[in-house]
Amino acid sequence: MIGIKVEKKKQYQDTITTIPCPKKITIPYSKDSIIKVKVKDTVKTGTVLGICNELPIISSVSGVVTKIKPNIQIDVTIDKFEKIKHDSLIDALKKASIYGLSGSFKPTYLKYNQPAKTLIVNMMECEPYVMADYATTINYIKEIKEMLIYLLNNHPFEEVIIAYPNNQRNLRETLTTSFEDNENIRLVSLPTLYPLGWEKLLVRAIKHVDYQENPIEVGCIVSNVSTIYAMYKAYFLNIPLYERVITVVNEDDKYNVLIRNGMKVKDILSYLKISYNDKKIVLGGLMMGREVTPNTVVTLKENSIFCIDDVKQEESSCIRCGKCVNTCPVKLSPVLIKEQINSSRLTRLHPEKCIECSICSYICPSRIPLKQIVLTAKKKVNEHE
Amino acid sequence: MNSPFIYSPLTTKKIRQYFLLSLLPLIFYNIYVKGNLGFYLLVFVLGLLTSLVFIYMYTYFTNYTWKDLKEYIDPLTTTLFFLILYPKSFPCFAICFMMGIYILFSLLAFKYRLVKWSSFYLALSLSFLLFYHLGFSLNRLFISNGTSIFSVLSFYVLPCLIGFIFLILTKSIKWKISVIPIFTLLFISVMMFFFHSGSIFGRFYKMISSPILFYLCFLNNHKDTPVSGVGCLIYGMVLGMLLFVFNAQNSILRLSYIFVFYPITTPLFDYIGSSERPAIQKAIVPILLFLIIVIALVR
Repeated sequence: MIGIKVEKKKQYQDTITTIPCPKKITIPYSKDSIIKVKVKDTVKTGTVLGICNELPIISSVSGVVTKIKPNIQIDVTIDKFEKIKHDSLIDALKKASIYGLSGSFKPTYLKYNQPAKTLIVNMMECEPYVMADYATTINYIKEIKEMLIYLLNNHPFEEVIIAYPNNQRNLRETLTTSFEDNENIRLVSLPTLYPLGWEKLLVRAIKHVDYQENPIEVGCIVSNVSTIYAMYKAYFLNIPLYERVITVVNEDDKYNVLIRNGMKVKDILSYLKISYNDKKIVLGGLMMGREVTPNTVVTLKENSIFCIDDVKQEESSCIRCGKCVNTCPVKLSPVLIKEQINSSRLTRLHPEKCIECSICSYICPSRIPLKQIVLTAKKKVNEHE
Repeated sequence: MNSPFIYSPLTTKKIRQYFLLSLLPLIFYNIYVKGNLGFYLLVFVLGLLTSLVFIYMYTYFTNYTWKDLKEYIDPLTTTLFFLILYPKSFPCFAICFMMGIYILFSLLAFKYRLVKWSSFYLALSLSFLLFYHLGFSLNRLFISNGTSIFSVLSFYVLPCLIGFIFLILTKSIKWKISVIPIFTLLFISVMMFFFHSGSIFGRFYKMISSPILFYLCFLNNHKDTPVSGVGCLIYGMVLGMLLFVFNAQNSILRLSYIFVFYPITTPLFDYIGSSERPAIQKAIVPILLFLIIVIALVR
């Protein structure tokens, strides 16, 4: 089992709308960051505001710093850009603060520091209704191609595999036309199943091998297509990562929007004229996201915003249909974990392997919050260890 | 609130509705073939009273401190209840009630508070209409001299299969639980062909009689079956072998005990089927109990 079909037929849109900068931007940072700017400092788009885990915190707007704690707040003025200077790809990835944009949000330079034979470009975007990667590919295919060819020629990659969903004719045609003259770039179409975008399943589906911790163990690097585009901008255009394309969905209305780091949810929804009163706002996808308020700051980690109706699910008792066991991508037994939650034998069911994909809760006909139960079990086991 | 924010369209409520719908071909066919409304009413009233007592017992036992007990309580109490209530009744009637209560219990156990009273009465009446006729057919199949076997089979196989296919298409049941025992019986029929003369399909057709088919298609997909694929596979194979043994003995009562008691072995198959092996202790008591029952029945 490599996944389930969540969305019957995914509808795609390739237009990207740019959301204009609001008057104020809030850039969050973690506690272990070192902030370099002070209140009343003037910054440009691309200015380094501080350092977090050896990577710079980049200003996404030009303006005046008005607040430092708990987040950096900037009053926006006319856009002025500050570009980076680099001497290699790794240097560019560090200075441009490039993170994996598929959801993992790990520093990208760590991946490209290692020797790998295969680069897998992840275009699967398995979260239902999300199409930001699709729009990025369609709109910036030339840039993505240039980056991939550079990687092929300057890194020890033997091949590049582009994994894309098999239900998109437009994407297939674009990719085929763009890469038909490159022997070392292979296109692989895969079924639109959830969570096939997860790199472990992707590597299994393409290379038919499993790894323990990292795809480098089997000679692979997996990069999201939006990350490849961000890498292009960093290396060829010297532009750091401060903006990205995300999908916004409100009932039947779907948009791809270009947002800057630190915009608030309400700024984006208001610009798109979406009424969010009496609705639930979900950030990060319907399967793996979380409920947020209109004042929540959208960071570059997020790939989507959803406005959905608040429908309560009534839980009933387990009918032991086994659907949660048969669909779990890491082969856990959520129903057995539920039964053994207070038992000392819980460790034998390895809830710590859970990747929080939510398939068990999604598929359960009794609407048992299995994901939450497994996460509780995971916490218990981790504490025990 | 945490994710997910979307859910699969299949709910227990829908499964219950599909289950009732899948029984309709059988119900209509039975009413068409034999109609006896007075008796249905009697069965309905008795069934209703029995079910209410049964639900009370279930609630009582689920509050019991030994939590594991509740997983085995329904087949155990069903059988005990009938042993007390109908000690001298003829087998078909007892079987009819056992199965009727059993399936109703499973339907209600999905979630008692979610079951609307209208659907509860509908389930009850439809089930008893069905089970009376099923019991009648069992009687004819196993106790009569056998001349009517094929005519009875022709009454039930087709509507039963229609309902079964409907449940598979709506993904309401675990198809493995039904199909694997059937293939096990077919395999045994083929093996028998090598040792004894006669037609393979004749033997198989006799072995997979309509009540067994009904049991495999509908009753055996209840909540007391293994959750994993491997568990279902082994569960189905063992069930197929047991059905063969007791079917060959031509004893509907013994067969009915297998129907009722087999689900208590589920923890063993959960243990075998789970890649991470939860707890064998949980499986030992019911397995021993089941083995004692099987030995007693064989003897």
